[in-house]
Amino acid sequence: MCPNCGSIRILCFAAWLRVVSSIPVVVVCLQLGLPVGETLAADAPPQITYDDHILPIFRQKCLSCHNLDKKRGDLDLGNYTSLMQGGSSGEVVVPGDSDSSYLYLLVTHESEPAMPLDSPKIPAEMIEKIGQWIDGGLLENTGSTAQVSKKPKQSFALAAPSNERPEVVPMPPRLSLEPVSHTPGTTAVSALATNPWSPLLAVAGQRQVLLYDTQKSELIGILPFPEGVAEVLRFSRNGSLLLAGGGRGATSGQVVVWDVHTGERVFEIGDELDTVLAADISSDQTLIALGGPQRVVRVFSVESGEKLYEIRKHTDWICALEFSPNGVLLATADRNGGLFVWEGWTEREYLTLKGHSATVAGLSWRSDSNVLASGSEDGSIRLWEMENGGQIKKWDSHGGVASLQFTRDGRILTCGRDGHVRLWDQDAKQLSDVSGFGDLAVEVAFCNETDQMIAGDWTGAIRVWKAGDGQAMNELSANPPTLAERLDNAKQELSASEVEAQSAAETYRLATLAANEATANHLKAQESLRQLQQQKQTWQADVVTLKNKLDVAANDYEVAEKRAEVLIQAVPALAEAATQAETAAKALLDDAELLEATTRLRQSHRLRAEELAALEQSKPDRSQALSSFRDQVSATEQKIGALTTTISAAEQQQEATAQVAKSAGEKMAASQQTSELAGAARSKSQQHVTHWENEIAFVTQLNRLVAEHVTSRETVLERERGHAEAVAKVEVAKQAATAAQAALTEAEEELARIAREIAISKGIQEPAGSPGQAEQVSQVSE
Amino acid sequence: MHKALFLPAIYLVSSWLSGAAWATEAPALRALHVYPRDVQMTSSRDRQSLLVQAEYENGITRDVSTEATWVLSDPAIARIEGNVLYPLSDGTGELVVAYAGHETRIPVVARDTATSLPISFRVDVMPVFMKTGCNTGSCHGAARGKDGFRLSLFGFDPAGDYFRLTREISGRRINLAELHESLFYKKGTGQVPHTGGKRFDTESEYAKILVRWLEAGAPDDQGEVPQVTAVEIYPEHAVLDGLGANQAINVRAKYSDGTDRDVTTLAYFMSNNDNSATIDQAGLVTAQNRGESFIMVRFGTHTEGSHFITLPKDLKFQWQEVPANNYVDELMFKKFKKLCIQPSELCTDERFLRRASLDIAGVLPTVEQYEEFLADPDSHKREKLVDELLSRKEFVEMWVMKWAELLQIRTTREISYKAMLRYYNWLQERIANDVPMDQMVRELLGASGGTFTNGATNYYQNETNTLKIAENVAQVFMGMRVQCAQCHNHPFDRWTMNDYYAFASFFSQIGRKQAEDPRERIIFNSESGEVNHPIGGRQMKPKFLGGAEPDLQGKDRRVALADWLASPENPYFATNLANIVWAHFFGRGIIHEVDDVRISNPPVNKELLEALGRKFTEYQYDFKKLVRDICVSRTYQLGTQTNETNANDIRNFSHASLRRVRAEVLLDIVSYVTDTKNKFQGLPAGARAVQIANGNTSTYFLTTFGRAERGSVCSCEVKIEPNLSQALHLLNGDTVHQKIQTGNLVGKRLEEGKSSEEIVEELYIRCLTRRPTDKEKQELQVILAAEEEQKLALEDVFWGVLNAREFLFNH
Repeated sequence: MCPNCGSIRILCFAAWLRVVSSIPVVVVCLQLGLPVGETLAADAPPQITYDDHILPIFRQKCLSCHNLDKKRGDLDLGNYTSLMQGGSSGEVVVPGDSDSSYLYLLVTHESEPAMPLDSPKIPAEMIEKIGQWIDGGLLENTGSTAQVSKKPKQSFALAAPSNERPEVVPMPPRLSLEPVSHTPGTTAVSALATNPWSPLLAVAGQRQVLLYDTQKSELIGILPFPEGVAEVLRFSRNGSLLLAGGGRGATSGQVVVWDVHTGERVFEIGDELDTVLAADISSDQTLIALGGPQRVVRVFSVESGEKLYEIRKHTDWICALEFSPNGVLLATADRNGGLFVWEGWTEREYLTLKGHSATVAGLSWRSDSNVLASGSEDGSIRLWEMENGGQIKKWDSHGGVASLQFTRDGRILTCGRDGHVRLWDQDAKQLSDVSGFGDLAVEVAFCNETDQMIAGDWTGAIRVWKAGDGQAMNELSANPPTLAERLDNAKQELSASEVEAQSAAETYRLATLAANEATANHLKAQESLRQLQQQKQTWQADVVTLKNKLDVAANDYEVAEKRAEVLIQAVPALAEAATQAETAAKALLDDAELLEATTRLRQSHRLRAEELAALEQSKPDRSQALSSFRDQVSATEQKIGALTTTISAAEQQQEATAQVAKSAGEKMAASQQTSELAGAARSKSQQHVTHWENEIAFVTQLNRLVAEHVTSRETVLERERGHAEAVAKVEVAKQAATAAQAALTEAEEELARIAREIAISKGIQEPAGSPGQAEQVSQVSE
Repeated sequence: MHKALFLPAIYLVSSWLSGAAWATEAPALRALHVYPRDVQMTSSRDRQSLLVQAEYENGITRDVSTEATWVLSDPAIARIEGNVLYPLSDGTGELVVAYAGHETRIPVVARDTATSLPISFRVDVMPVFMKTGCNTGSCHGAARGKDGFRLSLFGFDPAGDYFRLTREISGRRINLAELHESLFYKKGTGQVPHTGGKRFDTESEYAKILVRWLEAGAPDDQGEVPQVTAVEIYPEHAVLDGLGANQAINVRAKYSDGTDRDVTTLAYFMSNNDNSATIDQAGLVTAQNRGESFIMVRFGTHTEGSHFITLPKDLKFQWQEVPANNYVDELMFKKFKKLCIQPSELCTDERFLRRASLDIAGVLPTVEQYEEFLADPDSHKREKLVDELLSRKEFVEMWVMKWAELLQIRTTREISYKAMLRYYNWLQERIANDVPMDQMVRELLGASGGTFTNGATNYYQNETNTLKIAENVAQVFMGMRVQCAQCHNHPFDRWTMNDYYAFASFFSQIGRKQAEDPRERIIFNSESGEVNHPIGGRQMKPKFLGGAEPDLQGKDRRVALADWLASPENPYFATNLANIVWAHFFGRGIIHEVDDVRISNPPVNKELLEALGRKFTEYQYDFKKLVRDICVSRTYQLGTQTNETNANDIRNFSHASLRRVRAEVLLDIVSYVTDTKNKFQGLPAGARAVQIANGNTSTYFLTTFGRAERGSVCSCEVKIEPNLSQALHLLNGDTVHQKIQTGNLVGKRLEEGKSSEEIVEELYIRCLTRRPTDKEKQELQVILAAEEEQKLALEDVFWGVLNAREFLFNH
């Protein structure tokens, strides 16, 4: 007891004693068995205790062989009592004497067999700690120090097993999307689980558990799991809790529980020496069972966190376990094909289900708890009834089943070594068969809310299919990028889309210009064509007029010609007639009539001759006029011909410009659309950037709040601890005072007795004792 | 001759100080070896380490790698770092190694130096498991693995190992997201508790190989993977000078694609005699006590060895010339010289007479023979004796018995008494008629017909399991225990599962049917039936063990096998039989045990064994001639008394060893000296125990003294180790006492009027092939004088002699 006291406490106690008693402090200390010097030393070295210092060393270095399950050399270092019992070679530690302690000699390699076997010495500081611990008297823990439980008691217990749809849909609030780790490569998916009552999928990653909304196929939260890798994920039957069992291979394993509604980690259970491969929480949320390579199923109380019992019947690694939905039974299975059903509350064995010849990789209860499905590496899927443990159905698939789950409505989803995912009814009828993985399919989960089949493979790919038609939906990742990366990506995307949008806008502008120009060209061409056609019409009218004129001229010419011909014959005839007449006249002088006739003839002849001469004279003019008209006509017709060619060229040009204008218009329309899209993309990118900026801000805020919360909680705890310590100190002091008082009383009684005896002896005879003694006695009695 | 000029002064001084072995002057350098003898580098990652060994005139060798100077004719092709060459660019050149005035040149070729080969699971990763002990039988190589993880023993199943490592428990053993979290890596490097401890450091080459493989995505090999075709160990032999002397080992593997690799860091090292030389896993041999050791390397399925001799530091040894009787002695003496051992002196004529009689014929010489032999002045009388013994029928009986053990002649559920007798008679006829061994083996293995009509067919009734027949044939006729290879590649020999099943398929077509007589079966060639490989299930084509794959179209597979087995093409047949014969006369084979021939159990005198095998073949497999060679050799005639140099030798036959007389012979000589008769099943009264046909018949005496039950072909069936029940049986049991009484030899001699002294002398000669010494005579005289009843006293003396170790042992 005493070495456990802190020096300060002793000083206080001493001071207190000084007040209440005149007995010197040293005496009290001696009575209490305290080394005076040590207790009074101001800075006593920190105490090395088994629980705080030594067990962690043993865990790291020794417990893989010397644990409760293995006990090499019949030695278990995993708890204080068994360590004190020693091993097959007797006690391994001697209190206060490390140099005589076998354990110490082995770890320092001063004695054979050097420990740990076949390995270099454990680090010097660890050896030093062990030495100090032994020399310090093998303290188990800080003993008399008041313990304030680090872990407040949990109460998640439900009044009854809860398998019904809860009133509030179990979905997490907004959570951090900052991954704990993002790795360059991916590895096999280690666990998947879907919430029974909400579109929520949990995916195990490296040191984290990811939450996906299966409806939106969107990452909605990341729960840190610094313990390692979760090998099993489970939602409680009412969907309100999420369990992750896992850890680090050959190092540590535990189960971590989160509250789905708050996204907060609520407690941890288990302290395995290897990872946890299988775990579940009972439907009334009072029990948690876990198991792993240590071959033992341990069942804990959720309320106290204490281990209730262990199942040691399995001969190989525990690979699967599940509580029945009604909370009564617990099925556990191992790597050797062993499969048992236990009464969860009483730890009694209920059934042994014999049949599997290899690792039972998956266990799942039908929702009515009457049928258990098991899938094994031996390639078989089996259904068992729970009356007598009879096998009611067995079929083979996958060449090794890796994972299996009963859906809420009694279908069975399986996956396995062949890379396929299959959905069955209970008569082994295949309802759906999908593949697409390049490697083993290792985990499945069925989302009852969205009727989706979800599976993960050996390479880390996670795919989602519709259950009805097996249509592939999308892919999820167990390795999302960090927010910073996402923001970077979004920013890059934004700048890219900005560039894109700009260039699209420019293209649009240019296209508009080009289109306008093309339209103008087209109009111009149209105009010139119109003009040409007008000209042609004019000219065509001219030709008609000219031709008319030509006709007239030709007619004139013709008429004149014919007149001339007539005249040419008539004029000599007239002349002759006139001459004849004259002659006759001469002859017949004075024939007046004749003379008159002769004169008329002469006149007529002269007139006719004149007419002829005029005709003769005007003939070239007429002829010229005629040919000139003819020339004009032909010239105009030629012009028209040329014009027609020009027109057809102009027509072609007009068509071409129309084409150009049309395509330019189309181009413009297209580029307008592109530009609009690019603009939309830009704003979307902008949204992304904002989104991730938001998320980062959120995470920062969250972290700050969490840190504050932790600090304040620690402060509270510290205060509580301080308070409790003070109370305990007072208690100890009180006890000591009582003891001292008792001792004092006893001493006084003793004195009184002696005094009485002296008195009696005095009464009988003369004082025989030395005067000094009597003096002393009398002094004391005063 | 250049010694004075070139040896460094320091070397001379140190040699003088320590006092060289032969003389005061330092031994001259005889040769400078550079290993390997050529360098070929074929990728950017390739490298080749080298070592230089100096061999001196006195036979001592020294590792001078660090003292020698290394110069590369073309420095552009490779760089030298320590004793390792790393390629720089393509080209050829010469490495010139000089030390103490000697110079050795080796060719260096570098090509494809720009190519970096992708990492391979089989070529790169698997050797790490072997080297660091992951896949040994006591660790993950155990049949059920260790702590939940199994690797195939010494990597006989790479595909299975790849599967188990990567996909048996997905996500646990390898983690491709966080490579350094991979459990197999963390366990091996001791970062997490590991029952097998820390096997290698994170900075080691092994860890780097594993990480490189993980970085590549833990790929499986695609397509053809180069196979190791040969493994070379250097130096080929070494003679270490005293405790603490070191010699590095260099290992190179040749691959089926024509490349080679320096696998010194990846090979697993073993010494078969840690008392003489130890080797660490870095490949450094350290000399311990005087003796021989075989330093072995294992890489892939190959085991190779190098012969190391450790001599005391600065041993002074001068070989005393002794005459050699024949080639046996010549080869023996050669080995003795290497080991600096002087053989013991010749044994006395008395000793030789007793030894040869017991060994060759299983009898003791009679008093008359004794007198006659001792009196014979002929200098070749020992040879005459050997010839005489070889001509006796007892010699035949002795070897019939030995063969009956190897052929397991005994009644079983399958073999009736009659069939067993036919089998025995068949064997007896063969040996009695000097049928050559090869012919006998051919008749035996190719035997067809009824088990009554052809006795040899019973061989296939003894054992009806195809695989076991193959194992037995290999063990008896080739001296090899191939059983290991049934489930995994042989850990200490070259035999792979392929070899095993291909060999077994010679016996897959043995037909058996019932004959008219219910006790008789008919063995015939069924011409159908195959053996499948258990991994992958492919059908195995018959292939001779260590030999070719014959064309067996239309042939009886067994006949083909027998033809090959008993032919000089089979390198093991003649030497194995010679070794069996040798072991009979020395109590120990040149390869010991005689049926444990493997690379890791080399012959103590390879040349001798080969010579014996050669002779045996030359003699047309007439082993009588071989026996003669052995028995007339000086080696066989050496005394048991050791000298200073051979006191510790128990392996090299440098002196005769004490051997307890085997059960049958012991009973026979006890019966002979006591003049009594035994009755065994199926034999007339007075028959010798050696003549018992049936392995299943025995007496308490024979069983106690370790007669072979012939239940297996193992040479360990015959037990000659003394034990308490043997001693008690001789002292208190009924055999000795009763036989003395029944034979009443003493009584008869007394009736003949012989004196006690004469009778004692006869008893001594009868039993021990010598007269009593004067001291013995005097002491016996005292005892005899004290006893009134002379018969009782003399019988006590008789009893005493029979209980003497001198009687029970051949020496």
